[in-house]
Amino acid sequence: MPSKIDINTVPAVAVSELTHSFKGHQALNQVSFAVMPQTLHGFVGPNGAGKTTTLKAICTLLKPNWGEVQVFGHSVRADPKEVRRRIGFMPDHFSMYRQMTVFEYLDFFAAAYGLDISQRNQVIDDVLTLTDMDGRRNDLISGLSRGMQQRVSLARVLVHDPDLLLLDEPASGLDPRARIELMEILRELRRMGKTIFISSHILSELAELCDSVTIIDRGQVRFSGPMEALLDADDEVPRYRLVLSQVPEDTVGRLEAIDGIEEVTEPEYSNGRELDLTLAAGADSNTVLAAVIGLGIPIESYSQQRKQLNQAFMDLTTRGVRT
Amino acid sequence: MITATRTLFSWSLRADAKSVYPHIVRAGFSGLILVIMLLGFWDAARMSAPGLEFFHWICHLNILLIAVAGISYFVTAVTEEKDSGTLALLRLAGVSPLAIMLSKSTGRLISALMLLLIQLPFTFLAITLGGVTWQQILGSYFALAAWLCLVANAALFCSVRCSSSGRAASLATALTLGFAASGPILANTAGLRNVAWITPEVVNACKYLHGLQQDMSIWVRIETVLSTTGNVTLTAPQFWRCIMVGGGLFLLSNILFNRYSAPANPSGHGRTAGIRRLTVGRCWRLPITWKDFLFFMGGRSFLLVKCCGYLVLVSGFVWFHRANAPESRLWLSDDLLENSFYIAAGIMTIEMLLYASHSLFQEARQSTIATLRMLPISTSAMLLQKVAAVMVGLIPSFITLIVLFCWRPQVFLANDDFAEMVAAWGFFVFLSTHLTVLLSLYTRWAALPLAILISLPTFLCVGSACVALMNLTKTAAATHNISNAQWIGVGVNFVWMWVFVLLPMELEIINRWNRLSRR
Repeated sequence: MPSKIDINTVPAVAVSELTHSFKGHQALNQVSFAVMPQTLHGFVGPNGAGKTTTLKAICTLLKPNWGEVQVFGHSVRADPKEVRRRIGFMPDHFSMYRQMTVFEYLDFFAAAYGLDISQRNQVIDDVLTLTDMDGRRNDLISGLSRGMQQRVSLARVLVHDPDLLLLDEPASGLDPRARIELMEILRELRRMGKTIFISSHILSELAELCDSVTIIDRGQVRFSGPMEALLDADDEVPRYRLVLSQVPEDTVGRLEAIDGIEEVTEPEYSNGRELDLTLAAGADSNTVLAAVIGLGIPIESYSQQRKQLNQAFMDLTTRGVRT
Repeated sequence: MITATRTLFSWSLRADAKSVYPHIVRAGFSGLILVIMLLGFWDAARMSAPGLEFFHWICHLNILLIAVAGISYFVTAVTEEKDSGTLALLRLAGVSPLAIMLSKSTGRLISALMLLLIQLPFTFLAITLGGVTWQQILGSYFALAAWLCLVANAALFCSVRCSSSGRAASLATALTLGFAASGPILANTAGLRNVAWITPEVVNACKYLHGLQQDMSIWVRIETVLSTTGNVTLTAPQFWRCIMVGGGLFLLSNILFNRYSAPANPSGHGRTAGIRRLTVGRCWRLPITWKDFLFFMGGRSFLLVKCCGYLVLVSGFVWFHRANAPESRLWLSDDLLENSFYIAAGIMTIEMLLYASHSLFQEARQSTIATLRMLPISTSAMLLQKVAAVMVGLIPSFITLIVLFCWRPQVFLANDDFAEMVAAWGFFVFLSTHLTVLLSLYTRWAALPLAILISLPTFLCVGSACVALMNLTKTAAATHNISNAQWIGVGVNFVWMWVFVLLPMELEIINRWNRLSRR
């Protein structure tokens, strides 16, 4: 009898030294990371970094040359059936039977997962409500917009109630509204206790959404861990953004003269009233603020500048197209 | 416009020239001709005209391949763009219907004509075998080229007129069968004497139409050319009529292009929920079977159409027999019973091949292989469910064959070769459907003609082994006083065929399917 695994203690996904090559081209090189249960994990990297290859290895479609992948403690090599039962994979391209209606499409997949008719009715109602597609159940898939087709894909992934969702570029090609609505659904799914592993290029939304992130480049993991750790990494020297209501003459020089401020720079795309202050190591931000106020410069706001995900992404990944 | 048309046309020709597959097919065909020729040399000692026999073979093979290419390769020229929703994009880009047809259809026609051209030097070797002249060879190739032109443009018309590849293939198949059947139907109808409505005017009309059909028929023309001993006219009426009708169909397609360029409307089962509950219903216990049957094979409505078609076919034969021999106490004479059985078997074979070429190919085209592989159903179980869907689609054919056989089984069993015929047919069908399925995972649209092309020499090569094994089984059975030796032979042949021929192909199909799911 298979041992019962507590999904809260075992990582939802544990990838260890995953290595794979296609015809001499090293797609993945010793990739290792873990995704904790009931979290939303972002998986980012430039084109050709190995994101889709990793996803396919996790969802049992690809047998890697080397390394181990476990989903809730089940090896994808040794126990692919159990892994498939626990995951829902949404590929990066639309793969739908366009001649079916939404209901027929979901009914087909629910039946393929072995649900009987009464279970299917309940499950289809639930997933359609969750994805807000209730009113479109009898519409042909071919007649739906891209955003709605993406929702149907998501509903399809949910019919067998998987613990882990693997979503490959779910927001690509969607308009801003459809993208925001999709992100809302993902948040709701996380609240429901699902683990979501999402590969995406839309970094700003990932930063808002994800608990943890893995950055991959040229087949190697550059960072893997909580989002906070990524954004705080290399941030020993705190930076503060000062927004002024007006900029008196020689403001930069006067600010640089304050003890505790190391450098004053004007940010890129500034409107002329914004300045970035780099504090000296060990300097107290409140003391610095008091000194700035003491200069009589009219201040609108003063806030710590956190590193953005796209900045971290750019720092960690290599410029140019992979050859 | 002329520049765009020329650019697209030359691009399609260049793409054909650069692609390795067409060259492999042409080389394969040349190889096949050499094999048939070697067989001709083998038989030269005991034949009066081995060259003629060999060339006959080649012509029949070409006719078969042109027919198969018509219903599978040419017919998708425009519908493949409709299926993928890219036709509107081409039209938006300002590409004219003429440019699309020239690049998509005429390019394929030229590629197929190259296949005829490549054979010419090899077939001239038939002259050395004796029994055939260079004029006969050239005359036959002119006739085949004109026929190819007609078939390609008729298929283009179907492709323009229909909204999806499946419907276009069905229409092209119906036209092909209709043309082939019209000859005997018209001739026999004109010969009926005891039917009130067949007046002299009807007889004359039937005779006239029969004459037209015979003038365009490639079979008639090839038989005429190969039985002519003197000079052969290279451009006979058949040549000009086929070219003219082909050209007319091309023009008609051009005129109708815009009217029928709407993308495929997949509402074949009705749009309203009430109608779809009847035509589609809930998913079965075998979900893949349900999906394939309803959405790849036409579903219940097409099943009903096929039932009616077979009913009409059998009723037609019964009516003809009653009209021709009113004094007969039988509903159907032995000859007509056999004919209707073999025609139904032929139609079923075409159905099977078309389903085989579509079943897995549709999944690859819709990029659904990875999604299906994620289901908790093994690949082999999934493929078996697909076979089950084909079986459901073939129910009308099976019922027709069983009814016809059970009507008077002695008519068929009296034929000593019936078991061998069934075995040969089964072997060919299994081989060609397996090959078609396999090739449909490699090529875009030419899987069916390629499969037929490969099946024929394979069938020839292993056929002798089949016959030898059958004889061995019969002898062994006779030694041990076992009856039904023929059927035991059929069983033995099927077992070894499955183990050594079909099983490796099935494993490769599974491998290829799994590889495609990783893309």
